[in-house]
Amino acid sequence: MININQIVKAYHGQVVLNIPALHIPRGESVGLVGNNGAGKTTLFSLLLDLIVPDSGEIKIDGQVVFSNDSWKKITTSFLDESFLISYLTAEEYFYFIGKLRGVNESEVDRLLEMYKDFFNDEVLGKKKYLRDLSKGNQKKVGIISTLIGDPQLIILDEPFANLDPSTQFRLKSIIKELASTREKTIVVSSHDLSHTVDISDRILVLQKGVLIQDIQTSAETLVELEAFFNQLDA
Amino acid sequence: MIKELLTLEWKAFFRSASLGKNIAVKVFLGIMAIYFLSIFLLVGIGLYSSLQNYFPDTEPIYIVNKFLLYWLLVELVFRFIVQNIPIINVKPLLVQQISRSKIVHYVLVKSCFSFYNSIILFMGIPFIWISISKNSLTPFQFFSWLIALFFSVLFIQFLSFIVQRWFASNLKAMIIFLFVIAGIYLLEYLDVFSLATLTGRFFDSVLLYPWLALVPIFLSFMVYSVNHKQILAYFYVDAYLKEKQTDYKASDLTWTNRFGALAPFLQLDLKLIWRNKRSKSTIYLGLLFLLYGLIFYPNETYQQSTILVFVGIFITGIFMINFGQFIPAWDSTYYSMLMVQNIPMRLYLEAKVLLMVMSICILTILSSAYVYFGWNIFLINISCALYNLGVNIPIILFFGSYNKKRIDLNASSMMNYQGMGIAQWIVGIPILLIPMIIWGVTKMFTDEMVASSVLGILGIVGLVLRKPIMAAVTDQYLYKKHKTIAGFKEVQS
Repeated sequence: MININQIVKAYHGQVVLNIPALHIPRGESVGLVGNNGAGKTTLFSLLLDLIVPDSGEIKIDGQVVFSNDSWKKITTSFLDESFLISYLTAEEYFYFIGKLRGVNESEVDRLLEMYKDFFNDEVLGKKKYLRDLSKGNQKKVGIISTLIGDPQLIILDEPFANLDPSTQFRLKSIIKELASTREKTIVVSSHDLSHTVDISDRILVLQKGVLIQDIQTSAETLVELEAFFNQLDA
Repeated sequence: MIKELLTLEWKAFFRSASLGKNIAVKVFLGIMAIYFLSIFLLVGIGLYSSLQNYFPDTEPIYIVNKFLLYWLLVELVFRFIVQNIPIINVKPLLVQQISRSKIVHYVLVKSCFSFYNSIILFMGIPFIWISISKNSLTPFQFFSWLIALFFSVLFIQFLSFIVQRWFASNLKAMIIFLFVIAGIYLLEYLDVFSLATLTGRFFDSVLLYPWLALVPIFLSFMVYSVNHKQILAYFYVDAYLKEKQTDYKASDLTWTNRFGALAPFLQLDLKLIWRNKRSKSTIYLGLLFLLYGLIFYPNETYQQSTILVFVGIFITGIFMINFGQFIPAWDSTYYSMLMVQNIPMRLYLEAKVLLMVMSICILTILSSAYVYFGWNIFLINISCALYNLGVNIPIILFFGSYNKKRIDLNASSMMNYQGMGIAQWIVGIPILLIPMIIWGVTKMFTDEMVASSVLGILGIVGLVLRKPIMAAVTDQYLYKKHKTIAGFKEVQS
């Protein structure tokens, strides 16, 4: 699904990301962890053609990402609040995304009905613009919007941050359910090790721009990771 | 403390994403400033003798005093359009050990050193100098007159800030304000009550009783403190929230569905314009500037003149200019999201084009009332509209691809008012000058009808070539995509 080849990105002479090779097959649920400045958001931005690599290329589904459009049909993402349109209501935002992905309003409504609990009655039907919602609720809107249009690749940057504990658990079950079909590729970054271990088949550890660990999740993974970060220089 | 704040601004300027453009703009503005200052200087020098020629019986300064109110009104309007409310990005400083009051003082005092305040000095000082040598009144009396005038100008400057803030939070207030001004003018016209004569007499008295200069000084301190109080009140992060949280107003935009694939973008743009103060004012300005023609059309001297083309392009294209030059910056806060969606750049741009086309058509229809002043004016306006449709829209779009400055739609008044400084009007120069030159030169060799037709034909050619032109503009936007994304991420300070 995702093929990363010789990717190097540097800012002001300092290399912030250097990945010689990374392959994420279809249907895999991948967790990306690392300390601050490790390069997680840079990697996502490169994946979505928001920034240009200094060298190397990234392919999604066999198509090069750079200045190409075909991957957009099958990819959804939510990186931060800059992905939201502040002057729309939540419903309008969902319908807008739906229109862009060829999903009509009633289908969007059906999807939103499925995730009603996730919103906890604070987002839908409130007649409030997105800019007037709390940060956490805005995040919820962004996360659910990635589920519209039956995407094959979903990219979420630190979705658990800013969510209250109950919502975090609901999000975990949503992601696990999506991953269970083995049809969607899901890449999630997080600072919460236990959540990541819970939802991912495979965990990538980034440190200062380099992939230092690439492990298949098992029962001992959480303990291993915790020990690892405990002794790591931040 | 002041040094710290000045250093911050210096760094912000030189480290911004649009530094190159900023420097070029500043250099250009600098050259224009020198040019205009020299003109004002010459006016100041020549004013005494020319007034003596026209009014041999009266001392020139008394003539000047009669017209001072009009000068002050011009200053008010000019400052309102051109001078930004002083701003500073306050959030990072709020929790630091800097007194908030001091920061506001810093910002306000800095505005006193504005270039625009030097204009009155460049004109006034030479005038005073000559007056002193030719008159029996003491230099002290003349200088107190100058001080009174200078502080009146400062008063006007701070007043314009208050008015700008007032309008920013309440657009309809503009209409009230205009009525008030019209009312005062009417009173003047009908000789019922003349504010101008009153102001004139006040300044005459300043010459006799120099201590009267304290009045404008006192007035300017008053508006200064009002400004200080207003700005300080907004010195909180949730200042925006204090304004009423606007309720969701459902709007029926189903008529846009006739535009097929463009419909979702069109709806989004319409919501953008209607639900955000900054963009909403482009509509009101557009309607307001429809009246611009009234300044020129009735005047005989302007008939046949190239300025009519300026007016034509301006009136039919004011929305195009105000809205178009900030494309795609209107969407800057969520530009990244648009770029990762399956949206062909072509469609995105075409929706914007459609909006501008509709605005030109509406404004042209509304301005057809000007046919009252003559068929030639109507014809000029039509050809300017065509030129706008076919030529200026792609030009504005093309320049827009270089936009890297973020626009925060949520930011309303006060600390984050990204006003229309002079730099914003620079884009208007090629838009307005080129057709004027084309028309003027053509008219020299032929006549008015042919000149207007040339503009119109150029517009039609542009419309016919729309497809290839848009393809080229789209490529340009795609080429600039990553730079644009990076620039928009930078929150303005």
